[in-house]
Amino acid sequence: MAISDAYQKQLVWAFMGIFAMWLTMRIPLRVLEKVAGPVYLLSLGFLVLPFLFSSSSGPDRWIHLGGQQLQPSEFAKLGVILFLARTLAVRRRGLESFRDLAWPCAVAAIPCLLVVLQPNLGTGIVFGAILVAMLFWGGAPPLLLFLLLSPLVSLLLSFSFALWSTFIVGIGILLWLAKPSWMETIYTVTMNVIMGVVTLPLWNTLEEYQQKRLLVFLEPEADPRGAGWHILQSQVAVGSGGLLGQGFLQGSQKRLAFLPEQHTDFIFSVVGEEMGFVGVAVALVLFSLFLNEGIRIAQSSSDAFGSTVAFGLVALFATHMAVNVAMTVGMMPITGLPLPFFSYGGSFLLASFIAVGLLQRVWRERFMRRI
Amino acid sequence: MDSARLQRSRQLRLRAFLAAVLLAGAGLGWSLFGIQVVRHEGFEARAQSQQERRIEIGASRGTIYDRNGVPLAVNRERYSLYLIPRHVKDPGAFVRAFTEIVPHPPDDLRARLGRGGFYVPLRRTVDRATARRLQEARIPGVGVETTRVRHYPHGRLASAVIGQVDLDNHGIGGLELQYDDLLRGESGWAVHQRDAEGREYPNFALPVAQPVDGHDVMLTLDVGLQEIAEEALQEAMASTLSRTGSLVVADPRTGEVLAMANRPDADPNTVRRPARNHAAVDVFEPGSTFKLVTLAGLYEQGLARPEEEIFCENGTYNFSGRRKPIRDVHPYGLLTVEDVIGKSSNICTIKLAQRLGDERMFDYARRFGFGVPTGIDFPGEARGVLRLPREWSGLSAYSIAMGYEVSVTAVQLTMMFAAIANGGDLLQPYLVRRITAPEGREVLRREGPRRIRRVISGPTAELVSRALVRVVQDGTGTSADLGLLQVAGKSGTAYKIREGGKGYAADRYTSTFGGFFPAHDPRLVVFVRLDDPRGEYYGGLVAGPVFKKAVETTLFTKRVPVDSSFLARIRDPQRVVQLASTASDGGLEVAYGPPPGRPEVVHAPLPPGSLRVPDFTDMSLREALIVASQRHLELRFSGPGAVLRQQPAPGAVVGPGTVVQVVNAVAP
Repeated sequence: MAISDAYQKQLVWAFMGIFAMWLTMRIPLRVLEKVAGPVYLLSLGFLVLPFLFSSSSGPDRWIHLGGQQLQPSEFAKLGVILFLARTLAVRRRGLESFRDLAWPCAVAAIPCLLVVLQPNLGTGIVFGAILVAMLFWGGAPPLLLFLLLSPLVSLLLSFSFALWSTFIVGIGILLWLAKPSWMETIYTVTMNVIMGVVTLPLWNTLEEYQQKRLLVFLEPEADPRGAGWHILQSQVAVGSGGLLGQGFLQGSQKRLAFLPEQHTDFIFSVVGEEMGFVGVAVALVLFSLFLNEGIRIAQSSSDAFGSTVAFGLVALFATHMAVNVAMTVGMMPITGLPLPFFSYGGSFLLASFIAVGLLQRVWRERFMRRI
Repeated sequence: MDSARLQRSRQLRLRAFLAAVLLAGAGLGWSLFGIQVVRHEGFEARAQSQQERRIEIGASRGTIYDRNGVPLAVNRERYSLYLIPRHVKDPGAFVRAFTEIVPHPPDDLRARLGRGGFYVPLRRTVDRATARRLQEARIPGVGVETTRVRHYPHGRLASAVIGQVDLDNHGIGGLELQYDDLLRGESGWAVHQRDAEGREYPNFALPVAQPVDGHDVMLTLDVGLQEIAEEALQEAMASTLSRTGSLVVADPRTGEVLAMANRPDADPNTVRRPARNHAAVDVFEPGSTFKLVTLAGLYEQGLARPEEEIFCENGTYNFSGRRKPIRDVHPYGLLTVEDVIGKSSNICTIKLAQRLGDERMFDYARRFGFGVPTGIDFPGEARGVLRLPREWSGLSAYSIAMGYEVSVTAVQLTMMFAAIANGGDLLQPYLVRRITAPEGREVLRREGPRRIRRVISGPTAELVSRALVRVVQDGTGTSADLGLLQVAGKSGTAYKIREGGKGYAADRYTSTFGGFFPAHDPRLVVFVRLDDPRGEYYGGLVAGPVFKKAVETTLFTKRVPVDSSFLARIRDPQRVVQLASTASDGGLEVAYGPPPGRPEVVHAPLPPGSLRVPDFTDMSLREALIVASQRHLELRFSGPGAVLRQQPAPGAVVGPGTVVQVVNAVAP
């Protein structure tokens, strides 16, 4: 697809997005809460659909709709946020134990599993991040969240037995001091041990190229023409931008096609190359202001559902922004998460505008307290 | 959790979350700062190195001309083809489009495309028209590379002197090597932008250094003389079956080398190994030609007079310190000093050398330039061997006196003859007279003699010349007698040192003949050396005729700058004129006017605006075209090659612009 073509398409999507935002703004929270369940189910359906009609090359990420392609996972994120918010808002009990967390976790885990199977690991991470953030905002004790996430730490530490065993001992002390329920204790201990023991053998069953692909972000120079290409070229683009950049449309890494996925995943590298550190810093400040605005909305809302929705949306944006930029500079493996309002892609732009519409609705109803 | 508590806890959670966001932002900002500001230069260099490619623009190597501007080494463009498989989207369409222009087996094309990548050589050479058509067709996936290759229009002519270049156009032999720095020029460069696919785009915003072409070099060689020399040498090689041969022609007044022929040789256009310039790099024991050094020393020191008589021991001479007696080829009784040289008596030469003694023998040999390089501008010139007297045995002086125990090059001997010819000056020989920078500035101009030293006085040189005239008149060099012009010369026949062993081989010889003409006020010095001739081997019999042939042909092709005062000294002017009129391009008369005492041919006055048709017969086509254009005549020719007949006939009176039809020797 020619870039000029993409630009026009993106413009059309932007207008549609603004219209969708305007529409969303007019939907009362009451209605949103009511339709959250059906929306969630619908988005699950869309996620399952590709598996039913999978071609020989595996399931597709897109749904083809009258010549246009839609990425159901982008809308699924909104569906999960709405439904999670409803789940968390309607419950009268707190989120004090794993038993309380089970249902919300399941709500996020189902779509998460479906996108990971696509496979789209990046979006899976977003579901996880949304879940944790909304549980956090919903009042889950930090300790509980930590225990929930501790197996992930074990996973990362399992490569060094010394580090992992230290961590396990730390967990043990923590459990002894905090004395959580037996369910949390069993979960924590089993999962951490399993992660620590199983990861390394599993890792070794991976082909070398697969291992390389996962680790290459740590050392892109090891395979500059292969697995390290994306990350390296992105760094070169960002780095050659310097303080002030090469000028709008002047980026040579971009023009000469050294930078891959330059209008989608690596668009931030183009900003870095053409606008320099100054441009990048401005973008980061804008992101922060945007997120701050979202947090303020979440905080100011007296409506439990609205506030949780707002916070979930903030988490969604924050995850996308952080992961995308971190990938650009080589701090994280390449996950293929688009940068909100920057990356090319109709579904995500549309979803982002709808998300903003939702935020605005929450802001509008901030003084209303529904009973 | 009640809502008041939740509210409170949310305050905290909000701060925690904000802190996390800010921390993440700061971390990313810090990382970006590191990449964009701290490590900026490294990344920029890296971007540049992968996005830009330095393209070398080769300089055009300088042309080598003969002394009259005839090109001897030029550049030609060669086109070669390569495939860029990565740029071929549809192999089928590519093969169709390509084979339409260049016939090539489609299977081979497909196989090469299958190799992938950006550069798969396809054809080393294609003709210019094909290259043009391909460039115009702009088929993605095929590239035309233009390279300049050296071409030697005269093939093997003087190839050992001119030398050769390697595949990178760097001189690897001869003058191509000697003047490589100047001939080569400086290649320029341009920067092309290159994308990730390896496609290149010329970028005019990036710096470009224009190539600086090489300097042109004009030699002292004369193609005409060189041809004559090579032909004479070639004939001798064929008849004597010598292993190698060289012939040097030089101007004794200036030291300019006018021709330098060598055999065996090779065509530099097809054989990529420079032919050996035997004349400059091979050393040999000269034999009797070296007796001139002895004679010159004796005369100069007043130790001998030309008419003085020496007893030659009737052919067998015993003297102290030598086991075997010295023998002459022919036994002689009393000989004048002049005849000692004329008949080349070894016995008498030794007896005369005794008068000279070691130190003076060495001194004269050294003064004539033996044992040291002549300084000719040729790479790898040999210096020969002349040992110091303290390293000599008691007999060395006698050996050296007759040309043994000393090794020399043909160039050194040529300059020895030149010194005698020019009245006693040893000159530095040279091969290049002019070097011109591409913008036309002369960076080197050599004219006239470059004197190394005065070896002997003028009167001594005159006396030696007289002896040399005798050699040709009634000595060992009669085979070189031209009959018309007095020439001076000396033959030499030397046993060759046994290969890889001691002593001399019984049947291996070096045959030489050197000399100059005319004997008085000489214009040319010629030296011939034949290495290991089969059958006849006496220098006088083998090398002498080569000398004669070279000089004679030279004379009658008007290659010598002779004038009427020179012709006045010719012994038989009538014969010269007769010979000259049969010579190829009109002979001496046309160019230099008749000798004094002969009435000039007076033509009837021409009507105004008309002219006489010149005689084109025997002219080369090139010459004929030049002459015709000078006379404002139009020339129609039947093909390349020398002119056989012409219409209108020579001497016919015609108007300007008349068409002259000529028939050439080579059919089209």
